[in-house]
Amino acid sequence: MFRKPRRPKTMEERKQRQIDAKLEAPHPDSQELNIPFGLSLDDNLALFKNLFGNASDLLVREFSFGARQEIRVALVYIDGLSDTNSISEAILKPFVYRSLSDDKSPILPESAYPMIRDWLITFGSVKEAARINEVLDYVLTGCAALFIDGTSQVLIVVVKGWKARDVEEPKAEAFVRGPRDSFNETLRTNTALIRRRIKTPRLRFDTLKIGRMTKTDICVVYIHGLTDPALKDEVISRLKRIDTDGILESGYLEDFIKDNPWTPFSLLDRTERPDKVAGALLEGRVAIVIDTTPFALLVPAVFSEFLQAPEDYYESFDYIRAFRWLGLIIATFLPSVYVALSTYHQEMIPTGLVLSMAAGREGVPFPALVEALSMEISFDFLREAGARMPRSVGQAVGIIGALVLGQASVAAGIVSPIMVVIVSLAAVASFMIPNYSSSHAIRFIRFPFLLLAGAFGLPGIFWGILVLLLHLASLRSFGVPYLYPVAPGVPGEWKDVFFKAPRWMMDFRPSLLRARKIRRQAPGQMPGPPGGSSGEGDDPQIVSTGREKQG
Amino acid sequence: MKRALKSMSVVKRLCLVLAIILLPNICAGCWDRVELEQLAYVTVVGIDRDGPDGVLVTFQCVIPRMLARGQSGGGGGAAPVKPYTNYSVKARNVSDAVRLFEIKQPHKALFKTSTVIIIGEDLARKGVIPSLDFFTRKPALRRSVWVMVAEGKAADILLKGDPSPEIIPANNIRTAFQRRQDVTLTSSVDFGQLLSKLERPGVDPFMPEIKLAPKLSGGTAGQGETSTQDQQKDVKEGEKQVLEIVDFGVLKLGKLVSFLDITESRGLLWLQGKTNSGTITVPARGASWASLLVSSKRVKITPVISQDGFLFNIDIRIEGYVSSVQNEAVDPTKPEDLGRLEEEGEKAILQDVMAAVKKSQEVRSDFLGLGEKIYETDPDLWKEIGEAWRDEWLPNVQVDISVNCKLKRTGLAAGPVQPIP
Repeated sequence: MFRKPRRPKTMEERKQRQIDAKLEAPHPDSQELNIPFGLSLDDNLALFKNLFGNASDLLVREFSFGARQEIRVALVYIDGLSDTNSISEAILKPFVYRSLSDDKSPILPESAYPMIRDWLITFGSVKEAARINEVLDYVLTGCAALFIDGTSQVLIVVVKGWKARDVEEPKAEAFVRGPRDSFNETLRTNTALIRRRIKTPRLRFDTLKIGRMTKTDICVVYIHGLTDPALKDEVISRLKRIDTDGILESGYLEDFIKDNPWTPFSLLDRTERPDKVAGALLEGRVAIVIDTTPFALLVPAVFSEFLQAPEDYYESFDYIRAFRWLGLIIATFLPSVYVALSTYHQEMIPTGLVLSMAAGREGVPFPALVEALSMEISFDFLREAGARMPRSVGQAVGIIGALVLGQASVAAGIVSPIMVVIVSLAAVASFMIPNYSSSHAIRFIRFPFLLLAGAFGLPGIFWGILVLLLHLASLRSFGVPYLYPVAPGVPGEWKDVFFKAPRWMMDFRPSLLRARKIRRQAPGQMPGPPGGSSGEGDDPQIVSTGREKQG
Repeated sequence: MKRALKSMSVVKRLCLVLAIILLPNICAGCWDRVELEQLAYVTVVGIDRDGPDGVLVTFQCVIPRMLARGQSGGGGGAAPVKPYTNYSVKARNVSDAVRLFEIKQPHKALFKTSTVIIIGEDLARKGVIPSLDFFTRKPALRRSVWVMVAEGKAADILLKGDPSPEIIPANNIRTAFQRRQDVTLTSSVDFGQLLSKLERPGVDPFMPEIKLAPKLSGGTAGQGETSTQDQQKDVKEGEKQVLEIVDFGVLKLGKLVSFLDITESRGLLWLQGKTNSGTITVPARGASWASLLVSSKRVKITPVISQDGFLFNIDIRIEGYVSSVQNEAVDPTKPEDLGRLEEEGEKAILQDVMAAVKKSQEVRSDFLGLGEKIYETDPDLWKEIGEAWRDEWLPNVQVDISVNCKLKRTGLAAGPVQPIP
């Protein structure tokens, strides 16, 4: 009597279906649009306009041509995304000339399409499309679609051209010596900047589209035959797994493809400098370049990399690398060590220092821990306010902050002067870390360390270091241990960790990247004294001219 | 079954490792938190005898707040602020005194900042070991703290000692030791050295002596009538006396037996390896004086053990240069004149060393460490004579001193400046 209930699908399947339905809602159904256009121009245009809901930036230019205006054509593009110059020069003008030409024989509707495709349009890049969703995608990325009456084929003219920022100096990575170009928001410009540096056909750009609505172009860049294919495949497979409505910045991707989602340390390197990307590619790494953002991602990334600035490689003598490690230690531990020493281990402080520290703390109403925490927090307030405010206001924030934090709080006796020195030294040291994202992590881990120091003194700090090292050692970035080459000790590769060896010493690429060609350069390129038969008679002509001049 | 047992032991071992990692956290915790301003920074501890059994311990503490004020506003003739204060405590022993000290004032005593322990003469004659026992056991006090013996009472040194030119007396002492060590004026003895000498066979420790300099008439008296009151006794600023660190007090088996005079002290210093330079002022051709600056020194003491007794060959080689000649007739560029100066220098050093050896024999305290040389060369012999060394053997040892002085340079000028008529 009862209708047999339909066999329910598994929970996962049903859930998946629900999620899909919810995600799909605002999009035009791709299945529904995966059909060819009809033959009637009017129907096609109506369909297209309907899809856009008469959006004001969708431009439809209908015209007819031929000796007797017998062929009706419509040009559809999005205003602002396409280059209007090219449209008028390469598309509209030829039609006008054809109409005005002496050839008065009528054009047959069947021959119109091949004629337009093959010789009427004087633009380099022309494609054909037939399905609605295809055409839609092209139009939305800035191409112009040419609908021709009587055919369901649509000609796509790639006249992309929008207002883009010029190639400018990198804003987030300052430097003194090095190339001054940086990526901008256009993917093609960015890939071109990389291609300009690596002139080999083996440089490959594998393009994906991610984001149901943004349809962001994402280029996986690698050097074929050099980069470990497994690494490249892993990157692509991780990217393909992403199913979201939009990718607006590389940070969106970073969150999705990180190995350990719960770590404050950044497991990918990001940069807006093409030279850094090129350097990473030559090491055998993979770059992910994303449309609409100047920041490219580099994978895999190891911890020591965050203390390397591209400039290190351009200046031949570099002692600052060691200072950066020192700065890292100071930025992380100085405030907590101060708190630990001053509240638990006063015996460890030199006599003169402990006396002046005590003199400074005289009358300070808070314990050292509270003092340090409040200073650290207010420093973060200040930094954040300075970064977010419009530039003109930002300066005022900086001045007031410096006065309030540095001078007035000491004068008011709320904070001891040594604490100001300690906190600002740690702050300056944290700014020394070239990588902005990882300096965030360093600033963050100061707080747990402060609490540990306040609660347990030095043993607490050591315990914290233990946990921190365990955590760092457990991290991996695309299969490469995060502390490589220090923690899986590869002593031969320490040429670029605590100091930078001269270029001629770095004959090999990092081994854990498993590059197909491990050797980077010919060995034995250490410059020496002029070789060959050095001596008096080596270059008699120059010697003799010299003598003549003297005489 | 076996596997289960094994895995259990692994779990146990892991727990053990975790416990070992976590337990040190309990060593320090919020419960021992002391803020910097809640500490009493003891810079000098003075220990005196008080009655037959008691001690009078004086703690000199810095007041950091005053220190900062003195540094910042000290320039313009403002009233001088005394950045330290003295607390004297009578107690049964030093440990007791520290407890009473912490009752007397609110802060916790921090001995890390201590520069010096001064032992009063009375107590030192009674024996230094019992009163220092507290410090040998206390981990907070470093072995590098200097130990000195006061002529008179240690408390007087602390109460009446004038801190100028520094602002706290301990700094004066520190500076004195750091500077004067180079010029053979005095030598510091730290707590660790004292303890190790006390426990080594055949050597007696010596300690630098600190005393209040005799008052100069006029001087600073009457200037600083605006006096601040000391914790214990009213000592007016004007009554402050300059501290002098000269000479040494020598111990015998842990008890002070005598103070050395300046010649003996220098003799002691010549034989010590520590000092490398110093000025010797010698007669230059009878009438006037010449000063020689010693720049390097090598001392070798070799014992010769024979049937008759002990003979010590003391060989001192000194290099130096002429620092001043007040006699126009002496021309250091001439080898014979230079040779004469060298001889005079040798003679002066010889006298110093002889005086020290004599004193050692006289007070029967082996502060020169001669017995140790015998212990080093013949430990078996030492076992026999060690007990009676100081009283029976030391007064009778023979000493053969040879001094070799070489003058290498004459400073910036070769001969004396000659006025041209």
